[in-house]
Amino acid sequence: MTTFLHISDTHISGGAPDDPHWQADAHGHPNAGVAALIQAVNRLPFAFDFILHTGDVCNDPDEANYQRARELLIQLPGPVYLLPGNHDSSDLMRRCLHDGSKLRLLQDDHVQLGGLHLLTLDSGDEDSHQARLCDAQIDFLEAQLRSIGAEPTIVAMHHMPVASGVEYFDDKMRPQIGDRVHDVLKRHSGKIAGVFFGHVHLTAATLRDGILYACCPSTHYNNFAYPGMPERITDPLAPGGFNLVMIGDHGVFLRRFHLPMSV
Amino acid sequence: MPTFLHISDTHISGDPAYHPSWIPPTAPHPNRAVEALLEAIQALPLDFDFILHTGDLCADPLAADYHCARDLLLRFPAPIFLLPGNHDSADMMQDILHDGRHLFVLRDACLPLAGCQLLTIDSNGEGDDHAPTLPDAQIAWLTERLDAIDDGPVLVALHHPLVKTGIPYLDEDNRVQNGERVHQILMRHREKIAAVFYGHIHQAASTAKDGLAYICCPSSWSNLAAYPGSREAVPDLNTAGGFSLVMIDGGTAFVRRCSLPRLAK
Repeated sequence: MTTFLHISDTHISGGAPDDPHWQADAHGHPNAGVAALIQAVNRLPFAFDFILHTGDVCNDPDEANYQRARELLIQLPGPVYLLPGNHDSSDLMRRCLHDGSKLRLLQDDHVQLGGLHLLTLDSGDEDSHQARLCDAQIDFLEAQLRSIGAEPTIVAMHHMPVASGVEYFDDKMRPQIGDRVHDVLKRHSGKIAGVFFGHVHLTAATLRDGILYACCPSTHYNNFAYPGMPERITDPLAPGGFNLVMIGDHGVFLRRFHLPMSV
Repeated sequence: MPTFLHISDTHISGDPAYHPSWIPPTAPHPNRAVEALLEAIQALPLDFDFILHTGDLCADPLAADYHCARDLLLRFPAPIFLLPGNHDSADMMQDILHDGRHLFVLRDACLPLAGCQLLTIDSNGEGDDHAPTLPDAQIAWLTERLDAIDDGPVLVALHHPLVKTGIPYLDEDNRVQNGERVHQILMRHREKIAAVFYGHIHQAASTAKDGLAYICCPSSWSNLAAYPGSREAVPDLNTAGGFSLVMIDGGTAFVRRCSLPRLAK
């Protein structure tokens, strides 16, 4: 059995706790959510194999943010696999975070973890805040999946690949090329244990053509999702959290964990 | 697009002092949590087709509990399809709640609903009420119904979990004992099944197995923790009550977890 924690969208800032920018922000300072996460994860009464962070590690691609991220993330039990999100700079992540052992940056990568394969796609682009995902990455995914026999595989990326039915997320926050990611995965669905993503700040999952797509909540703030939602609206009742994922003979089990609400 | 709310394990009680020993001392009365659920649902800025309640509607099989439940449930803004849980009496639910207009009590049933087929199983089979065994005749009925449905999407609903999670107390003590057999039957029809919805274990959890998704809705009242290796149920004190929003698009199911306000006792 492989057990891991899925975390996402920490939006870490190098700004001081009393930074006016964050004091004026309705969601408060993002590092408060990360501190709650570190405390909760270190108190979990069970062992797990790794932590998967599906991007937006920092709020802005700025070196001071990544220095602070390093100080925080090394307090988590590792290894921690970090994917870039649209708020991140993969160059700064490599320079400030990646140490090859406890903190590992993954872009378009294929990592073998015991009997489980982890395939990651870098869909972040700090220049435009839009998803960057290209034909070559779809080809990479296909080639890697072909090279894997029947062994269970998980796929991770920052952005939501398939439509949720919530038009705002589907049209404005999703790379439309995600449909091609799904087409590739569908051809290999027998070995896909699950697809893990963040970006939309939700505890939600989609099952499409037998493939599970799971989004874990942000530690910073979380969103509503409903048909016809006209814009991104935060849900003040949705606390920060993370998902426990267990993959084994039973299939894939997911359970949401809430962080204590800071009032 | 068919859209519904999944609620579960409300444990409504007619006794204002109801507070069983297995619930943390800080938990509110279950009816207050149902009031919070009602307020949250009334405030939702969306239209939905129906509400699915996967059982443990009431705390105990008492007429007073079901009369209390009826008063609360009639205030909800959509038809509610109610399944019996191990705390319920299906007969009392039928007698006191079912009106065929706003409240529908379903045991082993299959009905067209909002462009889907809702297929429900009364999972209070034989043996242990937390880990029942479904009788052969019921499994034969299920097989027949699934064979007879030409078009999906099918929404399957029941109170207890069917498949394993990898967590001992859930798999051994809180699951349909012949759930794997039911899974094999469902798997033969997975092309038309959007998802399987259940409750009982009081937590936002899901299992995907062989291309089928099993989605558990948290309790509106008090929720439970589960860890790899957990041998018993302990309260999850970080998690308030909740419900799920479900949207069905053809064979694709999207589920979003919604949280209720934290209530003090």
